[in-house]
Amino acid sequence: MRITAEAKQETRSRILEISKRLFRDHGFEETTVRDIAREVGMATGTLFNYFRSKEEVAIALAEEALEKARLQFRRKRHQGATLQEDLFLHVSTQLRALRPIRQFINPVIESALATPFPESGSESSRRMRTEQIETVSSVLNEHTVDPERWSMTVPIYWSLYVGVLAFWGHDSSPKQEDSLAMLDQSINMFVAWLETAG
Amino acid sequence: MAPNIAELIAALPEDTLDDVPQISDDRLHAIFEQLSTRPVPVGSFQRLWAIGGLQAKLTFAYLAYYVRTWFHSSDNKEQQLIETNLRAAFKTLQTMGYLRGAVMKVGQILAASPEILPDQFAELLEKLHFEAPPMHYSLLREHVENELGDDPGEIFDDFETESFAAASLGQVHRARLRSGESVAVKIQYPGIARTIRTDIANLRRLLFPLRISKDWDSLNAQFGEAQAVLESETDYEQESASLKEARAAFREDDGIVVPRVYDQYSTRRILTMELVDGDDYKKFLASNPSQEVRNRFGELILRTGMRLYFSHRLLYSDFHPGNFLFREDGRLGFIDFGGLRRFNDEEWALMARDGYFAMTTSNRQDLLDYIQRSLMFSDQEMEARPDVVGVVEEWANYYWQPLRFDGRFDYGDPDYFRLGASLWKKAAKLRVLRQRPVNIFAHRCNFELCALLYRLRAQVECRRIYEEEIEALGWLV
Ligand SMILES: Nc1ncnc2c1ncn2[C@@H]1O[C@H](COP(=O)(O)OP(=O)(O)OP(=O)(O)O)[C@@H](O)[C@H]1O
Repeated sequence: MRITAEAKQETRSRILEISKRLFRDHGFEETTVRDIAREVGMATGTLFNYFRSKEEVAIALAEEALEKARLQFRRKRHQGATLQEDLFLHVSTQLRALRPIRQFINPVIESALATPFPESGSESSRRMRTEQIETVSSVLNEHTVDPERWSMTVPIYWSLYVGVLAFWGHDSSPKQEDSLAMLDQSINMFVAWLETAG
Repeated sequence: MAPNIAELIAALPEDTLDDVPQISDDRLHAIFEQLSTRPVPVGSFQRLWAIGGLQAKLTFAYLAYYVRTWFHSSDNKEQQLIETNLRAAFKTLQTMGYLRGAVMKVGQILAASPEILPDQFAELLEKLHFEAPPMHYSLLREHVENELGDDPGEIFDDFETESFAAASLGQVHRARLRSGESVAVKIQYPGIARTIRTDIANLRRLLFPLRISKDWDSLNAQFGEAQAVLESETDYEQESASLKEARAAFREDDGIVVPRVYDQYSTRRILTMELVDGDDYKKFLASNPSQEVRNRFGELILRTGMRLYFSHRLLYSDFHPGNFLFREDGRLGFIDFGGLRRFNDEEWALMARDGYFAMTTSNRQDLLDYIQRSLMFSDQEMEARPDVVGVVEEWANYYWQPLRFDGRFDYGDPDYFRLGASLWKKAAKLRVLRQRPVNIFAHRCNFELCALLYRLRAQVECRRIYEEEIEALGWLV
C-alpha cells in the first residue's frame, strides 16, 4: 500500500514535469492531454486518474509554485514591515515562484482564480483560493485591520490580485518590471481603500 | 532635473518678486481640482486613462468585469454598496502620482522653454514637480533581485533599507560593498522610464490637435529635443557613461570629485557609485562660509562647466545646486550627470568657436552676423525684428561681462542677476530662442549657472579660468 502511494506520487510529479516542458515548448493551447500521456508513456485513460484536464495540470503546477512562495514569504518577512510591505511581499514572492509557468498562468486564472469564493471549482483550486485569502486576512489581522471589514474587502483585494496576475502573464516589459509597478500601485490603492473605508 | 524656473525665481532678489508673473495658489488649486477629481463613472475611464497607461486600464477592466460577475446573483443593495466602495477605490487610484507625474516631468521641460506654450499653460506646468513614488523595502529588494540577480542583503555587505536622498525617478540608498567601499545606490522606480517615453508620445498626440501656437513646427522639434534629454536622464547606463567620461576629465589637483561607477552593481535601472561626502548647498550656506570659501567653490563650479564644455564638447545643462556637494577638504563633489548634452560638430563650431570669435572682436558687425546665423534669420528678418536681435545682443554681452572683467567678478551682485532675469523674461516673451533647441539649453545652462553663483555670493576670476580652459584649443591670440 505504501509503495503504491509513493509510486503514485512519483508518477504525478513526472506528469507535472513533462507537462511543464510541453506547455513551455509548444504552448498551453497547442498541447493536448493525449500529447502529455504519450510523452509520459501511459494511456490517456490512466492519465485521467491523475488529472481530469490539462487545466488541472496547470493548476497543480501553480499550486506547487505557490507552496514554494509561501515558504519564501515566511522567510523574507521582516520586522517592522508595514501592511503595504507585507501584502506586496506576499504577491511578489508568488510571481517569482510562478515565473517558470508564466506563459500559461492565464488558464490557471480562468479556471481556478476567477472568483475568490471557495465553493466552486476543483479541490485544488479551492485550496489555492482559501490559502490566499487566509494568508491575506492573517496579515491584515497582524496589522490590526478591523476583521469586520474583511468580507467587503475580499472582492476588492481579489480583483487587484487577479488583475496583477493577469497583467503579469502578458507583461512584455523587461524583467516584467511593469508588473512590479502595477503591484505596488494596486497594493497602495488597496491599503488606501482600507484606510478610508472605515 | 534640468529646468527649474522655480529655483531661479527663488534666487531672485526679494524686491523684484513683484514683477514676476505669479499664478495664484487658488487658481492653481482650481486647475488641479479639475485635473484630479473628474467624475469617475465607468464610461469616462477610457478618456481618463488615455495618458494613464496600460496598467491602470487593465485594473479598471478587471474591476468592472468582476463587479458584474460576482454580484449578479446578490441583492441590489449589496451590489450598490460594493460599487460605492469601488468608486472610492478608483478615486484613490486616479489621484496617484506616477502615471500623471510622468507627464508632468515633460511639462516641466516644456515649461523651461516658455516661448513654446501660451503663458498660462507654461506657468501651470512649471509649478508641477515630478516625483517617483517612494519604494518600500519589499519592492526594492524584488526590483534589485531582478536587476542584479540577488537580494540586496546578499549583494551588499550592508544595505540601508531607508533611502537617504530622493532622485527624480527613484531614490538613493547607502550601502557597503563586500570589498569595503561605501557606495550610493541610485534605484529607479520600475518601468518609470519607459512610461515616461510613452507618456511623451501621448502628450505629443494630445497637444498636436490643439495647435496652440503657430510655432508648431518648432514646438515639435523641441519635443524631440526634450525627449532626447529625458532619455539620457532616465537611462542610468547612459548616465554611467557620462560619469566615467566626466571623471576622466578632471585631474587630482582640480579639486573636483566625480564618483567612480561600479559596473558590476549597475544596470539601466540601478546605478552604484562611490559615496561622495560633503554638505549640500543648503547646509553649506547655513554654515555661513567665509567669502574665501564661497569664492573657491564658485570657481570650482565654473571650472566643471567649462572643462566639460571646452575639453569634451559637453554642455552640462543641469546647474542645479543639488548636484554639487561642498566638502570639508575644500573639494567639490559633482554627482549628477543626467543632464549632459553633447554638441554635434556644427553646433560646436557655431556655439563655442564662432561665438568666441564674435565676442572677442571689437567689431559689432561681426557679432550681428553671428547673431543672424544663430537665429537662422534671413536679411529681411534681421531688419524686421530689431527687438529680437537687440535682446540676443544684450544677452550675449550679459554673459560675456564676467569673461571680460579683470579680476574677481562678483556674481553675488543683485543688479547683475536681476538683469539676467529680466532678459530671460524678455527673451521668453519674444520667443527668441525657438529656432535652435541648443540655444535653449545653452541659455538655460548659463543662466542657471549665474543663479547658482548668485546664491553662493561667489566672486570668481572668470576670465582667468576661461583662459586656462580654452588654452588647449589654441584659440587665444
Ligand atoms: N555618489 C553620491 N554620493 C553621495 N550622495 C549622492 C550620490 N549620488 C546621489 N547622491 C544623493 O542623491 C541625490 C539625488 O541624486 P541625483 O541628483 O543623481 O539624482 P537624479 O535623479 O539625477 O536627480 P535630479 O536629476 O533631479 O537632480 C543627490 O542630490 C545626493 O544627495
